[in-house]
Amino acid sequence: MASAGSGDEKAAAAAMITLISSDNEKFEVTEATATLSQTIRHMIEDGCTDGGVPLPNVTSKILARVIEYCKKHATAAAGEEGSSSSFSDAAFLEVDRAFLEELEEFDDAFLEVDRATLFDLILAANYLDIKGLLNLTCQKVADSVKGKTPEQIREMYNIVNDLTPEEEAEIRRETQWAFE
Amino acid sequence: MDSPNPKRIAAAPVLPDDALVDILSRVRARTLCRSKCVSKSWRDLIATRLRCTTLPQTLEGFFYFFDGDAAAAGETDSNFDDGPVAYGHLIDTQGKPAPLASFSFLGNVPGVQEFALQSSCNGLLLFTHRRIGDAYNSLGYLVCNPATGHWAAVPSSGWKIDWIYLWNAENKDSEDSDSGAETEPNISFTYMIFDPAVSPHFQLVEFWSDDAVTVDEVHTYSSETGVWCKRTSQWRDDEVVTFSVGGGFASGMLHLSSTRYAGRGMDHEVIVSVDGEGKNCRVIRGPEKSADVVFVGQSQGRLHYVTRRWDKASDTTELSVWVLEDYGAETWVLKHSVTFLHLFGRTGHPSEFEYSVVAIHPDRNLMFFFQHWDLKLKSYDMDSQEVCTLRTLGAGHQHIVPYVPYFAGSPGLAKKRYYCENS
Repeated sequence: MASAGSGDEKAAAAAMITLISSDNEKFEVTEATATLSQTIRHMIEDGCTDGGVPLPNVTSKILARVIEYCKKHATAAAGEEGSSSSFSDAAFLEVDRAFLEELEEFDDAFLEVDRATLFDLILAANYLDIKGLLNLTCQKVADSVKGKTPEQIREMYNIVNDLTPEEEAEIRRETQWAFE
Repeated sequence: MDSPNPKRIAAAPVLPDDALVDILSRVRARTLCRSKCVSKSWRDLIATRLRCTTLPQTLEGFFYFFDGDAAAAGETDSNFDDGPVAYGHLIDTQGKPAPLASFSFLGNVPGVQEFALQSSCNGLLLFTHRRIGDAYNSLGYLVCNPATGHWAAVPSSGWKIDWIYLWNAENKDSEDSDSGAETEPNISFTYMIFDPAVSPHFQLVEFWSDDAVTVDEVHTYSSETGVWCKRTSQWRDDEVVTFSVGGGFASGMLHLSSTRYAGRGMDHEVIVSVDGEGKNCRVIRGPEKSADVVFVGQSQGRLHYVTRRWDKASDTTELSVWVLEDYGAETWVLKHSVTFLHLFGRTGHPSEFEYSVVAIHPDRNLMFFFQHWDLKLKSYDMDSQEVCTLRTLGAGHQHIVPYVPYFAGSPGLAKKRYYCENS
């Protein structure tokens, strides 16, 4: 919506970058999308993206999701820059608010994945240095841990308790306040 | 019940330690301490990487507080949103939001009215507490461990603003303009003493002053007895105390910077150590006879003393960091000097109101300062001479307090009228 008026500039700036997943699938993305990744941004700055950017740590399944995230958030960034001239302040704020809400809904829906995918997204976001995505995914896991008992966490993440009863008792004694 | 996706997967996905540290750095101390019971690897990770142990801790970051708060400051970070009342923010030493500890629950406690962050000492935070609408801490203080959620209310010492004096002062003409101090309102300065290695109880030392620089009365409070005591003031009438540079808690004592007049235009800078009973225990001569003292604090077990000096010849202003190498022999060593140009990145000489030294890292040669003109909290590494911006803080009154977590329940806080709140 907000990007409608700035189509010309976008076309001019739309240099394409090819990303290559670990299973050799190629993805063509705009530079604006790709540079949400600091890792890729640095590669572009160093001029080493000709012939594609190999990402040996990211599968095509996960890379597709990551690109989906970056596309949406790159549009958001472009919308913020491009729209201010074509709207009055009030209208701009209205559009801005609506867009932020839409982005939030997108993020919520984006996180509706199984745990393995969520963990893979964290690893990819970490490797590609995409701050927003790393924040989003880590926060999702952190929220699921908050206020949970050790038993609940073990069950959620299939973790085997290898502490001896004595060791566990010691932890409880040490920080008794946390178990009150 | 929290997960919208109840699907179970067969293989246990494993996160590398780095990612787990990132995730666990987003939860409260309570969950963190409890999660040490999950498994051996979690226990070790939480203890070593997240430093969540009952051992003495190092600087975790800074609490800061401003009147406008979240909405006014345009702060949208969800980590800060901690319920209906969010009065303060914790950032780590890199400037990232740290949800580890929070005192926002205080805002939901019945009976608690307006409070403002004042200072910190070994994991406890000191707040002034006032009735809504009052101009001074009419309800005394609140002391809180933001990691455990334990807190205590401290009644007022009886100090209040002298309205009649104020009124008189305001209506007096400038006939006695040479004693300008008399037109200053009365004021009190309060410092907290808490050293869990010595006592589970905390003490407050309150200095009453009519002119903001000399001490009239000394009052102390102990969480052990729960009462305030008036102490005999041992301060000289001609002794000018620079309360604003901090209480310099070291070796169980406060260290206040003071200027003593030694006759005919001569004065010398001293540090007066004060114990929890308000007793002046020792007077330590400063490293320079005359200096503009900017900060007194403790790092690496030694008292640090930061002064500002203008060099006439080169027209440069420098900050000098002095270290009291030998407490008994009063041996000062100049540890480091840095020019204002390097520190603030601009020429000219910022006045003392334009910047403040917030802290010296307790274990590293790192100094933290705040630039009032652009609201930037910065660090300066005395070894690499590198200046880094931690964060640009929101507009409004700033009070930035260094925070060293304390992950143990203290009987001094939990007993008596103390009350525990879930995080």
